Amino acid sequence: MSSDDLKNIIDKIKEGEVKMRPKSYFAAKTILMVVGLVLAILVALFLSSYVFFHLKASGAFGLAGFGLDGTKDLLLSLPWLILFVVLVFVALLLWFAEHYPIAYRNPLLYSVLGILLIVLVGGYAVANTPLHPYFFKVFAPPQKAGLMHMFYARPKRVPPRNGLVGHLKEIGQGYYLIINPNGAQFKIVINNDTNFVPEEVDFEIGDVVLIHGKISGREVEAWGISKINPGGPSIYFLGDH
Amino acid sequence: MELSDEQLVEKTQKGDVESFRFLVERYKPKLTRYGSRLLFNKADLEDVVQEIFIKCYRNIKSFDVSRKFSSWVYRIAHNEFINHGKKFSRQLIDYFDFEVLLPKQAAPDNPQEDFDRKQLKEILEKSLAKLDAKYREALVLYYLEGLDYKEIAEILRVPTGTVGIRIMRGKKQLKQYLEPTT
Repeated sequence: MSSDDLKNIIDKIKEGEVKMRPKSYFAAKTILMVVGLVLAILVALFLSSYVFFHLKASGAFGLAGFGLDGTKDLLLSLPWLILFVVLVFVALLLWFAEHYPIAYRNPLLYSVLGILLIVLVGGYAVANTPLHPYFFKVFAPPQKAGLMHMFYARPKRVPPRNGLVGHLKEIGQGYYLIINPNGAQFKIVINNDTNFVPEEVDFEIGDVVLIHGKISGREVEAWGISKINPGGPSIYFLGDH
Repeated sequence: MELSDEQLVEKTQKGDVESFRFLVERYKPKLTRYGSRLLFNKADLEDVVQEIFIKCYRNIKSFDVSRKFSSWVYRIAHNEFINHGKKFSRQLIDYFDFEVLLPKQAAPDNPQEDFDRKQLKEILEKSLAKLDAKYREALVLYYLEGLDYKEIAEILRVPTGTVGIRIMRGKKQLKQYLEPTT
């Protein structure tokens, strides 16, 4: 840079062509960053807690009790699109965090793990508050519409893979009849392939149960059956009936 | 008595343009030298350095005078050089670099062990273009600009351990280039 360039810079400043940004500009920028950060945290927590709520409400969480096959079906029942959006928000939070010395002075892995932990543990905590059951009651009814309705109607609309939640209508010899949340009746066939039937549990008419099995039309060849506790987070107990 | 960088910034923040002139005079040779070692296209170097000072002036009220001005101005320069040189930026923006993700603690640098510092500077000047950008910048800031690990870490916004690793690996690369000729 020549002395002409230096003169050029100073002249531009003196002539007012280049001006200092006021402190209020940086204060506003900081406030916007903080607001953005808080909003990103809230959205990430809401979405991750929704994933937990969805798994509980649809009965998918219960599939983990049916061994390896059940666990595999639980994983395949995850709302992957929503999880992807959660990951996008995790990346956004990481971008926010990397503007602050506490993040960039430490290994990136710590920030990644810290943010994931906040989103997962925070999400699980929020999922155990009455927030989602309340939203479910407000937005799930069929007469509602919009994004929130799509969200909260989903646990009822999308059953877990190879899973079925319903209440017992009839107990017969080698079969049960259950009614699913949409009012459809299913015949549950109990045979030698039914491995997970708790012997100590006495099923009674009206019990809410989770079936894991091969669903063909309105008949289910059961691999496992378990009772869902009343008062639990299943859609059956959330008041949409 | 000569005023410190931070004192000059404080006066500039209050509207004293002459203090900013002193800062420009003080940092102009350093930033030009820094840029000349990072940019392959030297034709625009003067314009880029001018742009750095203009940005510096525009944002000077965001500078906290309790911190080091040199780290702040080098950070602006680092960003400008990255934005300027596309080839350079492709090599440098390596966000999910394992050295940043989980850097191991590098041993404190001791140039006497393998290279004489003066000799290393000469070799570095000659071999800059051959080095990976991320190693080149760390070596330039450490050996040629005389900054310490902490300052370099602030400029590059990476952990101090990452700076140590980059310097160590950069030196290894330098050695590899030298081996066929020695």
